[in-house]
Amino acid sequence: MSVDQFLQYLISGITQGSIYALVALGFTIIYAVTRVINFAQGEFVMLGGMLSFLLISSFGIPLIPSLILAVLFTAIIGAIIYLLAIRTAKKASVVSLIIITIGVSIFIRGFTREFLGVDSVRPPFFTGDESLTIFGALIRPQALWIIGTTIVVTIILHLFLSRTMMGNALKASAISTRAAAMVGIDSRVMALTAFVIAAVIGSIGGAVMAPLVLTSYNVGVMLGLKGFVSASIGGFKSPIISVIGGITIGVIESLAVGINWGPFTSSYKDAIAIVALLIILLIRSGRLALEERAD
Amino acid sequence: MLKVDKITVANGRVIALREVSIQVNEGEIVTLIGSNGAGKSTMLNAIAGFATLQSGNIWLRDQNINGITPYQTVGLGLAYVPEGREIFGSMSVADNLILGAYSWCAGKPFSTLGYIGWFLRQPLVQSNLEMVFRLFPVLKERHKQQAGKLSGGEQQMLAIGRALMSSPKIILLDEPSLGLAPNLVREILKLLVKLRDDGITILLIEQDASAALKIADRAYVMERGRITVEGTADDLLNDDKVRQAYLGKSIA
Repeated sequence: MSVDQFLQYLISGITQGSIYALVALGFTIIYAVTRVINFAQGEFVMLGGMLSFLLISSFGIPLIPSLILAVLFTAIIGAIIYLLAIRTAKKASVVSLIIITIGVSIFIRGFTREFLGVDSVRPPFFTGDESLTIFGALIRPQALWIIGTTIVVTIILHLFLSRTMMGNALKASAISTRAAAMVGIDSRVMALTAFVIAAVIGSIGGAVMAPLVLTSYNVGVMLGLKGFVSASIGGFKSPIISVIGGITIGVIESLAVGINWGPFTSSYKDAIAIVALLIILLIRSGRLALEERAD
Repeated sequence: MLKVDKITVANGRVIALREVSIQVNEGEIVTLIGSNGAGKSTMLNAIAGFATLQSGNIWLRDQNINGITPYQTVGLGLAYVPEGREIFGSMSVADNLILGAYSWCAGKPFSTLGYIGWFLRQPLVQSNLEMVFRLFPVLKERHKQQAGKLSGGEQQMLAIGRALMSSPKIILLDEPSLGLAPNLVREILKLLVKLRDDGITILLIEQDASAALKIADRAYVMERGRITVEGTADDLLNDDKVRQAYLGKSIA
């Protein structure tokens, strides 16, 4: 692989990884506040892309209002998922809640397929498709949008969590709902907030990536899985590590395709995340066993 | 201020409180004395909304607060400093304190700006923060430090400071001196007197019964989920039975 090629694969890896990072952020926020792993996270990404396509192509609404509406609508769905599926099952164990989110994701996928069809769709590019050249590598403007959006979302989320009362309250609720209640924080409001934030971040990612990589009713399955692996690198604890995890997985996948030797070919690309997950699980379960013994 | 009327509370199958009544008047320090398992902490948990009442009533400033959810009590002017402090260990000292003022921002769910607003610009939060820093200069020095890395005494100050951030009318304190050096205990008890003089009502649980009685106005003795003796602090300090059972060591 030449330096130019390496750079090319690196850029496409960072682009793909940025999308994983946004999915991972959603997993991390919901897990931190509710201890639920929301397997409908990939569906938020799917909805962001599908809805923006629907609004732009079928209803002829301009780009920016379409994006805002798509994100807003997904945010409402995130709130509905929490209110109807999670909050009502309040006494259920966390495992039951996780299974509920799997059911919700199947429902959303089926619903979308029924109404919007099975075809892959491509919303228009935000700012054309004239590639730029950076150090001999081509980069498409939509890729810059994806990377830029991820950076901006990560920074805004960081400022929100560290500088605002509500962000602090989310962190407090994640540390201990009991202690949070003592200062007046309603953990259910925090859980609702977490679902809405996760839906917003996921749908933004979905809307920004769709013009470049296409989207369809089942795009959330694989993205959800990759985002899950990315978030598990940091143990679903730190938003920043989740972002780094997402980009790492994206870059490894892309470079593996670039190597194109032995198991490292494009047909095995998706297996890389699965192998990474196995390694993470092996390391983590070992650590869990150690912690248990320490107790 | 606070009236607990014949409440019965069970922890699982064990009855922890049996038709217990206490009253805390405005501007008083009232202390609960009793051995471990007498039901003192359960009493505070019940008042703060962390335990379910089987029967009885709790009144806070003439408002019935039975079955209230814990996060609502803060908005009613009741702050709880539980045993073990329950500060947010991985957050900074300043963030812990600022969260203490959360109820002002969250009380109005639709005033989104106040809710999400930058907290340092909120004058109420700022003035309370300054008040807490005046009471506990060490917290000001360490305001950027992680709360979990403070010493035990500093963590206790932080827990009390966080409670004060909500401008409470009444504070429930569960064993604030647990695990602290004697001079720190004296300092914290002195602070409680100062808070009382500033108009804050206090309901205190304290292992060191004689120290608690010295600063308290009135006291209740609890045994196996019931009140056995009640009276002014002076009465109890001079009560033979109480002296024998709870003050034995400190008098000798």
